[in-house]
Amino acid sequence: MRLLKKSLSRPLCLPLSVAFAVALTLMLALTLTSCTTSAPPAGGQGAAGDTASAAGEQGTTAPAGDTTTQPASEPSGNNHNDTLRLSVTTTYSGIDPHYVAQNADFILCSLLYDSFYEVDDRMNLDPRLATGYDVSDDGLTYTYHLKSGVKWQTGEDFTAADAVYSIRRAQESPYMAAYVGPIADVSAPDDTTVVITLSALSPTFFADINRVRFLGEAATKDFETGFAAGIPGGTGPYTIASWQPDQKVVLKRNAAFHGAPAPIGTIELTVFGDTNAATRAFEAGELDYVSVLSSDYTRLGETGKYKTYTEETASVVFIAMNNQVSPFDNPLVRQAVGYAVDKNSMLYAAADGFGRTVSSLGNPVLMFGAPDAGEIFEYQQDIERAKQLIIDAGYPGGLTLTEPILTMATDEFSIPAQVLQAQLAEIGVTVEVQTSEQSALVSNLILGNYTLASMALTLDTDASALAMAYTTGGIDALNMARYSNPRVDELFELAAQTLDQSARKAYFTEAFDIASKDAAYMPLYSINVLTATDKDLDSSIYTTYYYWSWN
Amino acid sequence: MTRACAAGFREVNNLADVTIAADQADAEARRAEKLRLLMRKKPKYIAEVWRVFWKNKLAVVSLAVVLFILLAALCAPLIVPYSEAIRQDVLAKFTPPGAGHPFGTDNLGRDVFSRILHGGRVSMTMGVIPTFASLLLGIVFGGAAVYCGGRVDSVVMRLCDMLSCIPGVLLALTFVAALGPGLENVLIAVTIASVPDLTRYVRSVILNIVGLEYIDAARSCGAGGARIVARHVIPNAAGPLILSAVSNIASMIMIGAGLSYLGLGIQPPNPEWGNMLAEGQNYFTRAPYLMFAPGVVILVAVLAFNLVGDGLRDALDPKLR
Repeated sequence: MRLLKKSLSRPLCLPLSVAFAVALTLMLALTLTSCTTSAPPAGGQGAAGDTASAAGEQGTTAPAGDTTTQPASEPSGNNHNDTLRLSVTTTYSGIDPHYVAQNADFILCSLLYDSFYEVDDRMNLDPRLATGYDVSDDGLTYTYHLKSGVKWQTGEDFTAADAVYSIRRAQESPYMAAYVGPIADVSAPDDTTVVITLSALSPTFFADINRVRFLGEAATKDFETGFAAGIPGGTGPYTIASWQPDQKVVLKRNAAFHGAPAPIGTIELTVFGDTNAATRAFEAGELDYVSVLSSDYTRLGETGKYKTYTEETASVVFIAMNNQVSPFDNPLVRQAVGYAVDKNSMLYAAADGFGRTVSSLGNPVLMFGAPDAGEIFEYQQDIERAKQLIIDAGYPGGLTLTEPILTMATDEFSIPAQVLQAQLAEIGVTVEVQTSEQSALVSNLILGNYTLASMALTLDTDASALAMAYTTGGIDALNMARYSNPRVDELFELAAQTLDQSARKAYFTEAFDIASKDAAYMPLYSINVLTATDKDLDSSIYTTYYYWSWN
Repeated sequence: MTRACAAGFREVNNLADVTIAADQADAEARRAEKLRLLMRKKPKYIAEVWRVFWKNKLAVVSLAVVLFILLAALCAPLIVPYSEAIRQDVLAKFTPPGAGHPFGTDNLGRDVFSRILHGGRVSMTMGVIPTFASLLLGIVFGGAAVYCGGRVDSVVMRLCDMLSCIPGVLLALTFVAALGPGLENVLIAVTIASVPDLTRYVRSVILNIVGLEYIDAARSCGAGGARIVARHVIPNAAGPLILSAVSNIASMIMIGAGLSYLGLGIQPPNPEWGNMLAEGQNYFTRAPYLMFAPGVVILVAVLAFNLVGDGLRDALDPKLR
């Protein structure tokens, strides 16, 4: 076993003392270059719309829905060759819009294919293939009116039959079940009309149906599902010019697009497995846009060479406790964990404060129905109370967990787990931390093969999506805590049966309040995206690349 | 004339007697000298090895470094309690090196110096234990292969060939992935991954020894297998095997650090030089010392062990003594 053995058969040529002196000097010089102090931010954003977090001291904090940018010192006068160079952190799995699960694949499909409308993170609708839609009085029938004169890349006309074909195809895909589940029937009475009949009321259907992107029946009916590049494509603003899913994908503006032409002609999507590598490439001028770690965000902003901004996301980091196994089948123990946790210090440790502490698995800024600060019961750190709860739970001498906290090796998950371990130690709970690979971790959580874990969840813009995480029906699926409360189940059901948003909000608030008091989960914070871009780029994560442009 | 010749012959005979006597005296003197040399008290083997080793100043300094690292690892709990290595102070994160924190603090405000010290215990454990465990197993398997010979030898060697086809790091990675992360599993995985190479090496060393003439001589004198092994094989094999072990420690440290770097070795928050290197990577631009500290100690430790191994190799080489 001599893989790395370096055999020095001769003594060093330099005198030993000189060699060591040179080495020590070099090390000292490199170490001293890092002698800077970082001003700690005061903590995370605590309330909706609160943009006065100390994160603003380091860079530019964008309130939800707004991007505040550093002014460019002078216009560059360079259209950047009408090209946008981006990085992605995962390889593309394919471009079959009904068989993708990764966010990067969703984004790619949104550029290649259209739906009735394009829906942003705030559930705003931008018409694409539809000119409008009607909803029947009972809320069960949706009638969409389509644009005419739209053509596929192969030259055939897009008709309502293609929409019907696509929706029926999506109904066969397990990836689309959440979006097309309520559909009982779909038909096309003429070439520009699609009628969808639901089996039950669905308050979010008007947004969910737009997850179904349309394929040309003639072009795709003979293809296997999950196809990659090679099919004639859709009606979207871009087409694929080059397809290397594990290296680089290049998109070109679709000259025959039925809507306004895309502002940027070419998009190059390069796969970087590592955020650090992407940041280095950005600084070297190889990329125009990159998501960065908090440690790089402030530094890049201070250079004045780039535009930096932060935007909220729907991604929520939380602690999952298996409600069905000891000791977390005891609500007192779960509540003790709640009182042991200091969310702000976790947010600061994990993300330098760039985020928002939350009380449910939804970000209230981006999810309708998710409780805002103060709307429901929320745990505040109280070590003494936590210790007492542990004693009351039957562990007067403290508690040693035999199973470790499961997490992933990346800092996003590992840091909350380590901070949790330290905070639990303060209340007499001893536990180890164990990292594992993502798919194994997710599998263990879904199947309940764990006791304690740190995880993140990114769900849709309506709290109804959290039903699968909080209701009994979600056990062995998204209900990783294996939590069950009949009243919570009932409340989510009631929210699904009405279109009255005020009533829905009240149902959700009560449900989350009960779940919080039960300490079903321990939601921690939502993560912000920290972005650095070329100064001339007008961009936002709330919109697809079609809406981005060069100034 | 005859009387003169006779006198001459007597003279020649006397000279011959003197010459013969001188030759005999010389031969006696040479025999006595040889006997004296044979009977003299030779310096002990270890002292002789140390004398040669001491001449190599680089190796001596490296040995001092190795001993220092081992001592520091051994005495780490006496220098700094383990709780200091995992104690978090989030508000003091990324404090640069200075008073109170000689090596600074990391992303969770933990003292890097304490973590280096206690991480050294783990790294040394990952270097030393698998080395000697795999050496022991190598001696057993290699020795059995030589002793039994024939089919046993073939089977053992073919198994070693099969396992040697897989790069050692990958083999260790496979075992850790199967067994799960953690120190114990890393020790097992690295040990198993090292056994094939060491078995082959031990076998070759023993084969070289048993092929020597003094083994035949010992056997012809009636020495049994056990006596041959105890009196001849082991003493003569010890040198190369010790050298191999010292050199392998460096490799084991690197492999263990590599597995921890990949998240398969020591689990957080427990410190180990490899996982400290991995954690520091994300903050290279913000706090480069987080990478330099563990990187430099790994470099120094591996280099020191390698140089000690080279010094030992030279000291054990009979041609250089």
